[in-house]
Amino acid sequence: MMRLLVKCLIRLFPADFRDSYGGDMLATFDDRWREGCGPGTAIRMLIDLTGSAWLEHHTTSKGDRSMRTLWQDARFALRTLRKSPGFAAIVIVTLALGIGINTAMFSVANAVLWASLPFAQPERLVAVDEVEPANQNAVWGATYPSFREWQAQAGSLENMAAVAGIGRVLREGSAPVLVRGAAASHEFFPLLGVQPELGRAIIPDDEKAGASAVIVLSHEMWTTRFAADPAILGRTIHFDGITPTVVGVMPATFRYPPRTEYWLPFAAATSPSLRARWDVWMLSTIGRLKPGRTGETVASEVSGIMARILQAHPEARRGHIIRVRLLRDDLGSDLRPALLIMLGGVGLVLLIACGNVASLMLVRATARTRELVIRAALGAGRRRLVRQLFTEGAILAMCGGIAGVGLAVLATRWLPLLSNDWRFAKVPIDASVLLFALIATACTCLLFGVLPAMRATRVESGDALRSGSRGSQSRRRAAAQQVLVTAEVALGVVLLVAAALLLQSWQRVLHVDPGFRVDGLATLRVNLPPTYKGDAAVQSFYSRATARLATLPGVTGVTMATSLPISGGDGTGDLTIEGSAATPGDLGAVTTRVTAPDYLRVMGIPLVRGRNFDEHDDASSEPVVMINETMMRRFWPDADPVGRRIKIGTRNLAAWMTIVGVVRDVRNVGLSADIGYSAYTPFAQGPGRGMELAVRTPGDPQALLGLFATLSLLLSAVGLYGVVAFAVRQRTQEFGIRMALGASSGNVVQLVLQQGLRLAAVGVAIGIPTSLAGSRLLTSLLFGVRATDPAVFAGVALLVAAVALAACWIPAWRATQVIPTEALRAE
Amino acid sequence: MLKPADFHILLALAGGPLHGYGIMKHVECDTSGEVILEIGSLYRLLARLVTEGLIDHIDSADERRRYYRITAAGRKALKSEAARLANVVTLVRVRKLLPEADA
Repeated sequence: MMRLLVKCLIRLFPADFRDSYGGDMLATFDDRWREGCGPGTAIRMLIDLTGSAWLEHHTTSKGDRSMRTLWQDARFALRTLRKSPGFAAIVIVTLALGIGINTAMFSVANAVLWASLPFAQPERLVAVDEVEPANQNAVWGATYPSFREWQAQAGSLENMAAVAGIGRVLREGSAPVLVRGAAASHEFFPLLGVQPELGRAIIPDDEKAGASAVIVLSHEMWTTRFAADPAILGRTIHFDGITPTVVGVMPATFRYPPRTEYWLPFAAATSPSLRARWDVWMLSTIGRLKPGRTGETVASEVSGIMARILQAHPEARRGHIIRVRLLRDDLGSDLRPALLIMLGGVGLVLLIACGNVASLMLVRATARTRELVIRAALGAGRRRLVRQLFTEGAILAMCGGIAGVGLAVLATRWLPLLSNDWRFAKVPIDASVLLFALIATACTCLLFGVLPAMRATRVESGDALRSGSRGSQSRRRAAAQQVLVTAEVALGVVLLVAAALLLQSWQRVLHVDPGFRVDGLATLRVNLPPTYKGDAAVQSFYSRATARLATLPGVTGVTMATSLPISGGDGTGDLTIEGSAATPGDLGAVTTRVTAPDYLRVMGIPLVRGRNFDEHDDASSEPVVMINETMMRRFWPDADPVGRRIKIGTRNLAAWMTIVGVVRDVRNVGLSADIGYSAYTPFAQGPGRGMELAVRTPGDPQALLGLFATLSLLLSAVGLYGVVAFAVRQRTQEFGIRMALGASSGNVVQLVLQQGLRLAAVGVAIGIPTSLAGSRLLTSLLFGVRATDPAVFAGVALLVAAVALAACWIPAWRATQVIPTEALRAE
Repeated sequence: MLKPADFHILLALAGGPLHGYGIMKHVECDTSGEVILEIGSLYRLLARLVTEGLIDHIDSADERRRYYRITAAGRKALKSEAARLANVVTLVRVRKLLPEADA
């Protein structure tokens, strides 16, 4: 693509220069491009080529005719644009916003959804997991013994590695701090193909019984917690209960699993008895496919191995199925719908931007009809005129494109400030993104460069010359403008409806997934050390902690749960229903979370039936539980579940719990359609040692969302305003006459408002049914909102009316401030 | 007197014939990255130097690529420019406009 562009730019040079040096220049470009250029270099290259071509034409007299015309056009266009800086600025800013936000979003999607992982041959890496058959997003992972069996027997995999997320309390600084890390098998680093920056990775000897504990640090932990100490190797690190020796530091590019700060061998991180359990699912396993094998072959192979394991070890739970998917898909899957919605949304922003610019250009071209016709009458061919307007459009588009890429670079730098998701932290703008921006620019340029030019030159000369005569507007020109304004309003309605629907679904997506951005909910994970003995001590710690947090300024609510939605780590157990003949395992598994009483309120989860936990539900009272709607629909479709008793978990210690309430479904597991069975138990009846504390603060609405909504609204308003303002300004003369003849400024404003609002009303009337029809196309992108949501349509109609009012009133008022004699002279 | 960019191109070619990319990299390296000649500027300069007879091009086995070579006239211009620059440096040093370590 870049090559094509360079080729085109080389065409700008004079023919004989091109003949002598063109091929050679392209060859040199190939060499230069191969060294890997960033967007900055690419832009510099393009500007340099354009500038050089221009200089070559002007410093030598050998420029050929068509090229000289082009330069002439470009110079002329620049001069005209300089005469109306406001117009040029609005167009360039509009384009830059559209292109910049698109490029930024495209970069994010590119990095998160489609980019390759920083591992060797990532397309051959697969994640192998045991999952629920009914809900493949309910991931069990793997047990340590079955991982070793899979690894030994799976012939379609070159090798397998296992990793498990852990958290340990680090006692190095002044205060103990919980640090996220991972237990990794020795195959882990070689399998992913990453080399340590310092020292070594985990080796087989580290996993042997009795081996001394070692640790591999992430670059992050090494630099932030140990000041990048060059003598870190061999140093002992103090965690609660373990003091491993540092043997290696990984490079900054490697942090897998996400946000891991260190890696311990399984022997150091877990006990031998835990590693012998067939019913403790704690691992994520990764395999490297042999060449030519696919995920399906692995899935069927591992399923076979699993069947043999289950015969030998009945304690391993039956009923899971094996899911194998590319590691890359596994990592991006939770963000996919959100990002696709965002991409759809920013695409619309670009459309709005293009539409606005196109109509601005059209209005401008209409206003210049007289000029164009005079030039045609003086001998300019139609092609020549179209070409000149095209050049003007192209120059604007190019400026917009360059500014847009700059904005995109800034936007990707800001993204980490708006969202704390680790995948947004380092989003590179790469050549393919630049390409995207350039395509967007080229399309825009064609759209608004050629169409208005064609339209403007299709006017009969007599008409146009007459229309400039003093007095009221010609009927024909007025009609053209009315059609334009109406079309613009209708277009605005369609695009705003689409944008509003997408924004609503985006908001819903955010609402069900508080795990991945800052939106006024701050979370904190706490793990209590063994020094807190017994439930009473744990309970008293957490009640003191929540009470202290609640007194912080700006905090409107504090709650806690063993795991928050999406953040993972739910406890899962088999369901038993009192009075049902089914054995545990047949009814499926339920994820449970231990919650504080105000969990529902703080998290914003509605109670559908029954009651919430209250202060009477404590260790001395009867055990209670709340279930989600999906469970109610599945097991008590016609009856009231409140008062029934269930058990969760196969162990004998699971007690009967009485259902006291039903809550709205929350997508606790992932964003896709399956929700699964969820239950909530009160903190007072069995606290967890490790809890997630969530603090709700007011305000600070989704920054990204706000930015996005404001942007599309702003663009629409600018477009509408621009169109109406131009139309009104052209009538300055007419208003002057009206006022000279005795019309008051109020009369004139009223006249403009009446005409403008009538047009806006017609536009809305056309736009609403059009968007009703069009929004059905969006259905697959929408989430939790209907394509025909009446509130959205009503809101958009009101908004457009308000914008139209402002867009008419401001220019009308300005027109009345002009002294009539000046208005009469205006041309 | 040669323009700085011309001077650097001739300097790069003084070591032997080079292809466009080679010249680009040589110049970038000689000036520690301070002068970066992008393709457009580079070829304008090359074309002018060819017209002025300071360099010429030779064909290579790869017919798309051209190699540029300094001519006798080019070498002469380079030498006189180098001598002029050396004089300037001496002058600057004599008048103690540069700290000794830098000079």
